Amino acid sequence: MSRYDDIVIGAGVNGLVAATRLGMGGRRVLLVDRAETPGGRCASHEFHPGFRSPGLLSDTSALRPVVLQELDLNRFGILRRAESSSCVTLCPDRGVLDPDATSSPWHAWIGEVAPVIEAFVDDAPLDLLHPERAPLSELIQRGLELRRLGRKTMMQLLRVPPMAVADWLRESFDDEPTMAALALPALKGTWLAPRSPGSAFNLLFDRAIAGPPIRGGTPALVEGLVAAAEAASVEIRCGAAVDRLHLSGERVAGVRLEDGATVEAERVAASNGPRQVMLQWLPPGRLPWRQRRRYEAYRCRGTTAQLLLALDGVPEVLDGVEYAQTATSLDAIERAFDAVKYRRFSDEPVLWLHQASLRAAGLAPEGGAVVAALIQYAPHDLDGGWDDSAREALVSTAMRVLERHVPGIGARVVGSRLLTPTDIEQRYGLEGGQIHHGEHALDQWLVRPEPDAALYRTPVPGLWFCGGGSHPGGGLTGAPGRHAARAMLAD
Amino acid sequence: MSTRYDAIVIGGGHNGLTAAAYLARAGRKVLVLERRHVLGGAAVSEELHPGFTFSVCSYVVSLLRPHIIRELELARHGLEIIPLDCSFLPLPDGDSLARWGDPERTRREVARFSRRDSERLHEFGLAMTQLCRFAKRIIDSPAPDPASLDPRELMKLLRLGQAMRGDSTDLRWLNYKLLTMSAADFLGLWFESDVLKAPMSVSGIIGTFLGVRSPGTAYVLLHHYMGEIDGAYRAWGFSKGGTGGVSLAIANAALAHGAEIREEAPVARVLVHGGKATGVVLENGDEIHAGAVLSSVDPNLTFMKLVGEEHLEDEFVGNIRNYKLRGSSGKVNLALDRLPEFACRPGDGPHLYGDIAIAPGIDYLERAYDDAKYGDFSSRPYINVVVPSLVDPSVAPPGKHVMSCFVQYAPFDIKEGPQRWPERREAFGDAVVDTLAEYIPGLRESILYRQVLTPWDLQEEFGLTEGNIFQGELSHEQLLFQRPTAGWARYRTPVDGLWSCGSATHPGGGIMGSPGELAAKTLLASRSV
Repeated sequence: MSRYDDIVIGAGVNGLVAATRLGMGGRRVLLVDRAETPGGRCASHEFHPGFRSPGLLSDTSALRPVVLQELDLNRFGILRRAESSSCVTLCPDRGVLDPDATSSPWHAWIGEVAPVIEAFVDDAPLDLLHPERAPLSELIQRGLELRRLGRKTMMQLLRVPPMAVADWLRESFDDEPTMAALALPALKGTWLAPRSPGSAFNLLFDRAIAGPPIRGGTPALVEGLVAAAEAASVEIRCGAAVDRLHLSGERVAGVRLEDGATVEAERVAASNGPRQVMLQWLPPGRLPWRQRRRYEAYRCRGTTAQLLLALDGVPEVLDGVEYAQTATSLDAIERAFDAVKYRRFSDEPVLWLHQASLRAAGLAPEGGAVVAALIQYAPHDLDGGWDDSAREALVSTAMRVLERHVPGIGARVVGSRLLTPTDIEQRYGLEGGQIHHGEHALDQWLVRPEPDAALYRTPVPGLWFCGGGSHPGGGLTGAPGRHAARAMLAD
Repeated sequence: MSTRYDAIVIGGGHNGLTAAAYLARAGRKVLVLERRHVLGGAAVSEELHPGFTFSVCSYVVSLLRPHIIRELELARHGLEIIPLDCSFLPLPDGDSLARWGDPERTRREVARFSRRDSERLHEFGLAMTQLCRFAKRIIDSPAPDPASLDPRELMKLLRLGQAMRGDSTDLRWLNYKLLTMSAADFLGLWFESDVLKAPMSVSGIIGTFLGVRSPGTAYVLLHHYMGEIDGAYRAWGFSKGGTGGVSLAIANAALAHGAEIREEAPVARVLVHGGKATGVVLENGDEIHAGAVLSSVDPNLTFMKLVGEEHLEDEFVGNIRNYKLRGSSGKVNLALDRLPEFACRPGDGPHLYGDIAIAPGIDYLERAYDDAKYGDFSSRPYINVVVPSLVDPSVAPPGKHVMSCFVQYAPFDIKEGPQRWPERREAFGDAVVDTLAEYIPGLRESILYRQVLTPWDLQEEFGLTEGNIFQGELSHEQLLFQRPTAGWARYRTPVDGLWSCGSATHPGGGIMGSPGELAAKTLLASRSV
């Protein structure tokens, strides 16, 4: 039985980043993943002969530059494109509208505060519920960072996060398709709609850290991260599903795999959902009830389905369009959301589209195209369950909406696959089909997932979190993996 | 006019009167100007139908700060609060849930729906009481300013932080959750039963254009635990003679300290000379001068109408325009010729002596909200009913009753346009009566008189812009140092000599009296009058 310094669970972006960083720090690292191939939520699979999925999360524009730099990822072929790529609205009557075509005071303000949000993402998190534990100098420095924005900008930065996206955008815009294009990307996978308070933080966060996507998209990203991990002597074992944590006394001392093998290590870092780790993989009674309650309270309600489309050619409207969405008003998004409250999917869903094959090689055969559509909103706990008729109904509903915005797309479809929230749960191991390892909402952003584990070290000795269920959340930033590894190296 | 006042207070609502009483108590010469023929603003009692006295708008008292009652000796001036003992929830299937002042009795009722929930009630109450202690520190003093580098401000923040020092991690976590979660989700930390969660969660949405599943609505749950009648947390009450009784007691206190109060004296504008407020002009043309002017009306009226944009900087005007008022509720007042009888608990009984909620489930409440989001009043609204004549016989003739129904949602901005509300008024009233009649079968026949107040009416009659009962939404971006807008949360305004003392300032709406009290104390401390 080999012994490792660290075991990292989950070979998604965060797991790979954490393992690589630990390996670079001299640790002997084993990275295990239940899937047959690495990539986690970015992992590709063939959904129609010759056509491959770009992964569940396929937009790579949030990856942190500091992660690229620290892991020297350029060396492994992970490079940013020169330009950002906007999400446009496909208006049936007005054509393609790019909300970022002209810069507005709103855009300028985001630019002004972006450094503060980036610092929030890149700096090790503070224990916000225990400020007295942080060094005073650290608190003063963070306070000054804010103060340097100037009183007016700082006050606005304090004002925006708890707001609703709709209220915030309406202060600066009046064109509904423009506002919808700005809002929807930030609402992907959330249990929030434009009128939900706190959704403004999601948008602010998304916009402030968005940069140009990675060249070659998710396939290039995963390939490069795997190469970087191997170069850091990380041992990657796919098809190795964790059954539970291996404890030695009070300490986590390794993992037990589903094939019965136990692998020991000094530390275990989990990049999967915190609830699965704490509520399923620990022996019952190991957590005190107060802590246990916090994980029970951690919400993971999936609201998104993915429809993968294999096309034999690109419909005219999508020519050259990488990211697009179909909502033409904020209320269209709001109405689509209303359905999930009553455990139904929307009969007028809004779709976020990624023509993944446009900028990533190998996803579609010559002349073909792959469009990955996230369908908002479709609940995990669908009334009556996700049986075949529900699945068919959702596909035909989504295609009806799509046809209206992309005329002729139906005739181009040669194959498709629907991933309902329950499919997403099974394929990607995401509880509730929640694509961010826990909802992104104000009460789960700042102290994530709970105060005793908010700095990656969990209350169980030897056990760490390193995934999207930790600060700064479940987007494709690589930041949780990086922060966790740094904290573990300091251990 | 020859008389010169130290201070003029615009608006004779409970906050304006509170400010006046504190100023008069400190020896200042104060004049209160009320537009209507009665005092009280939204805390007003009126005899709308012969023999029937209604708490026209605001209908229960819970948040009136005990130190204000003490300092203004309101009991001596006629304030009498009759506690409500019960929160009653009739259900469409003929069942019902009554929650009582007596925890054991409540536990037994809740256990019929969920044993687990009944066992958790006690723990929930304890947690809320602990959370209240933190909130009290916030509402009883002016909001600290996080942008200030003034050492006094930093000390205030530090003291707030220190007050947290002894709190356990779990309590801090709960505090964070309380401030950020939806009311429904927050209650879900303890409870599973919709029948319990729904009537509890509604306190999170009252007067706000949000649903019980909207994040940020949980913290208002505290209001239910902050009522401090006779020192007991979690107690609501009726004021004897209606909620106008609170205003009258405060007015009596002000008068006793020498304040002057004029009714039917609408202010046309605030006199501004050289950037300083020097008095007011009444609609009849009279000019009255004073060292300071305090406005208890909402910021839209104060700045856009009474002061005028020309005296204000663009940035400030922009902030006031962004201040969200958007009323979401209405009121239906009924005079009844008999006791309202619920099908689920027929006859008289203690369940009628408190507040009665038509809130049969979380989904029901969300659907009511969905109607409003797209510009309709709720076809099946949330209704909070009280029958004050049961506990206070002075408000109705013997055997007859007044029934006050707070109704949500009724959005100000209906899709036909707010000015079309008068044409929709009776349809709205019908929706309310129809909903109630599903629980009170004989209701329609027993109605002697009906008053329907839409958000439009609240604006036109009571001067609440867009019919917002709190003079501005109690959403996070409009609280504390941001109420009504950042930089002007300390009762001062950009116009020198003009002060705000209404619900649009910290700590916000409800019959608290705090904005009036804190504004007056801040003004006095500034030594400018």
